[in-house]
Amino acid sequence: MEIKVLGTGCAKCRATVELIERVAREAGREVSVVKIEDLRRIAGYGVMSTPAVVVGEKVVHKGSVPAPDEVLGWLA
Amino acid sequence: MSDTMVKDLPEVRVACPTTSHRMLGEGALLIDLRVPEAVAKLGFGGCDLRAIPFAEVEDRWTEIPRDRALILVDDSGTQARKAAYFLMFQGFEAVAVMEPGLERWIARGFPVTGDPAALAEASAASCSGAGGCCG
Repeated sequence: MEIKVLGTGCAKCRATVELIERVAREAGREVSVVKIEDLRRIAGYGVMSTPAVVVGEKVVHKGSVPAPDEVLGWLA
Repeated sequence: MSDTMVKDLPEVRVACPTTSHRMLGEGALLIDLRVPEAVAKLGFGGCDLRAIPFAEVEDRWTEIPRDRALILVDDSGTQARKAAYFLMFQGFEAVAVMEPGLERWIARGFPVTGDPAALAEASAASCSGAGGCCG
């Protein structure tokens, strides 16, 4: 599955990418994490607060690094 | 989270202070996204302005009139671009970002509120020097 992380390259955005990759690895799930850093494309999702996470073209989280349990829920 | 509508937004228009000043004279509204302390110390003068801190845009964007051209400004331009794209996503059509901001506005002799010395103090360590805008 593909998960998009929307963010302009800040520390929290990088932490979000690393968290998703780590949780997926530990859960044995295959995930492709795509970083979207372009402001115009990020705003195209109606998002101002980053990092934000998009699963299946739906914004499922925004404004902070998600909790590991939240990430697990997206992988289910 | 609710269902997401993804939009392919156009590039935001960038206006230098001289162009912004002209647009403001023609009826545009300036949205100052800087923090209230900075706005109180030194601000844009001689134009119709609304101060909405960047951090409050998501909660207060409905206060912004849809029937006027908008010019957004902040300290660096990054937050102004973010806010501009957000407003464009919400359906605002006439949105521009002023770059460079207050420093160049003052350099061009446009009116301000407050004490211009406050800017000199703030930018003493990071003067942008002469640029190509408003040439």
